[in-house]
Amino acid sequence: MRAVLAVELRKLLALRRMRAAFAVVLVAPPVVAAVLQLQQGLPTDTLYGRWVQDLGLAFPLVLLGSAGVWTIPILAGLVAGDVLSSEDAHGTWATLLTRSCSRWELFWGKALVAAGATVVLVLVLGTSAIVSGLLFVGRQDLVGLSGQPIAFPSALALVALAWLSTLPAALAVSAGALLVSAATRSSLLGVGVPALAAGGLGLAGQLAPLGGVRPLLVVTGLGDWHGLLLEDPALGPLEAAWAAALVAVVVLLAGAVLLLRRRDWAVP
Amino acid sequence: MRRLLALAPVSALLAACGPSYDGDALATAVGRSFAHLYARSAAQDGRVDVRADDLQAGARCARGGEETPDEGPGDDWRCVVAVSDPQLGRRQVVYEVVLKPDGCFSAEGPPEVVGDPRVRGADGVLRLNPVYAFDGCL
Repeated sequence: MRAVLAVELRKLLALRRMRAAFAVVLVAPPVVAAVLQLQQGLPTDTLYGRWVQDLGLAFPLVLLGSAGVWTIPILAGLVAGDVLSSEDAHGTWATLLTRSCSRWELFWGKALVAAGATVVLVLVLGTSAIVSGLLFVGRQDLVGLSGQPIAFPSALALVALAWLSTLPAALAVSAGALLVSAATRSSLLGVGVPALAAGGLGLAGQLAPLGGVRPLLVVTGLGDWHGLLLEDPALGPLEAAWAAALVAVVVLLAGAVLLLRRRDWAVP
Repeated sequence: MRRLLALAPVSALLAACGPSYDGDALATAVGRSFAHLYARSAAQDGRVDVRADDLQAGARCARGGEETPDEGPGDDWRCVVAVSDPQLGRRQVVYEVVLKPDGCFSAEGPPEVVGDPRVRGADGVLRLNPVYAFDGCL
């Protein structure tokens, strides 16, 4: 198992696409933050957009509000979307399965690496955003979503928590990408389908009052962090979203396992 | 029967999570935000002793059309908010409010009442005018 992890990790880090993703999540936040400070207009259609030039901690929340819907699913799909299908593309399953590790060790090793890389990408993006906001604007207190002032140290903790709260949904997208990748054996679909599906569902969650169905869309969990910043924090939606994401991860992984189990490994 | 029992927590969860945004819920949130931001605005003007809890803030919200029921997301909400300023007396502002499906709102005041988007504070620094327009969540 450890050997699988090491090999998969090395393969992942050697991918140009992954290196580009790491560079982007590291460099994009300071660039966007700088542009927002220089321009006249404010991104008022996003929560905290009005505060982005006045409060340092507003910027990571603006980025979370806008990046949540598309960027996080794309990052999740980018890694998980082809850890399985790349073996199809290169025709390397047959060789791989002659090695001294089981099919399932391979599968779980790949799944773990994909999950780990997704978590790291999201955390780097969030950290870079927070640092950019503090650097370009400063360490002001935050204004909560009930208008209440939140003193700096606890505000920083809440912003970090808001970013962390998106991880279950990101992992659910990651598991979905693994399933699509196992089902279609295509890296393009493995990366594209989950990102589009997550983006579409997220958009639906923003546009329509979905009522009780909302937490079931899983990716709406990417936007449920606002409950954290209320005067009386509302954690209900966030907890529902986490539970839904957990169920989704289990179901999607089970689907991928079933597909691999039923697969005819005889090489074409 | 067992299947029905299994469904009970699910439906309870769905019912609990199904947000029903009505005028009262929106008014509470908008009124609370306005009180806090009014205090912030006063502090920027050098009146640091104005506290949100002392302002007796209140709000009433209704949707635009006569036939439209006062509930649910929409961009035609109007909220009348009022505070009792310790020095300036009872003050009232009408905000145009957009309530989004995710339970967050965006309120915009009439510029002739709430002033410019950015205002100079008592210390001469140009800052965001907290009550010009504001966002919040229910």
